[in-house]
Amino acid sequence: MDTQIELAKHRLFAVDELNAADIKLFPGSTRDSTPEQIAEQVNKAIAQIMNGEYELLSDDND
Amino acid sequence: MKYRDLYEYCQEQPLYIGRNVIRDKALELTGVPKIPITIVDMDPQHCRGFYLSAKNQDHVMVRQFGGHIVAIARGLNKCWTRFVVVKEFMHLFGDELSAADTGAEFEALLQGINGPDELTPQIQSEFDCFWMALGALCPEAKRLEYAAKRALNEIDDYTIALELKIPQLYVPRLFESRYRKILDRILAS
Repeated sequence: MDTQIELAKHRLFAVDELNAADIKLFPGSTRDSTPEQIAEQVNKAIAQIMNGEYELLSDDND
Repeated sequence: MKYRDLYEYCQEQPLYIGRNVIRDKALELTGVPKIPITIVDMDPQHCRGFYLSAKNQDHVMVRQFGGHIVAIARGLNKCWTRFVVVKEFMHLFGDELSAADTGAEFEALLQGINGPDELTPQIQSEFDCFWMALGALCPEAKRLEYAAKRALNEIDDYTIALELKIPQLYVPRLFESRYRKILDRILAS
């Protein structure tokens, strides 16, 4: 069962969740990642952002 | 097209072009008020970053960050960070047709991002934004200068990467025969 994919779809597109208008991805370094593995990273990111477990990229114009 | 305005703006910028220079112009052109960049613990083997536009104004993320956000994997070096972030900024110029705004389109994106069987508008948008980022980060006059020097072995890809501050991996893309054709198609759309 594609647990991570289903979880990501819910978090992203449910009307009472993010209700996403768009999501786009930058691939990882391996071309062999499965959709489930990529969805897991999206879920991890959303969970961390929602729980304050993130840093903001500095505004140093690099 | 608004990307054309950004592209032309970038032609006049000195190297290297700061990501905030590109961000601020993209925000001005699209009317988006802000696009925060969060660093999170994604595994960069599987995903280096993503762009998200969300509509639920009551959601904690939207309340905090607004409707547009970029997330990037922790630990990317400066060149990778710049490139991933600028590529994701390019999605600000996306249209409704190319938006992944349903679970089915997102799933197709997941399936196709590393080698699509079918070129959906969403996957085409991913590819286009890659080239749009290269076009924004390397002014054409500089690209032609590099191409001439590179052909004479007077400069290597590492040096070009250092000057542009982009991943060396993508420097050869600037000199592929399809580069100009792809950018011209995007600029004409």
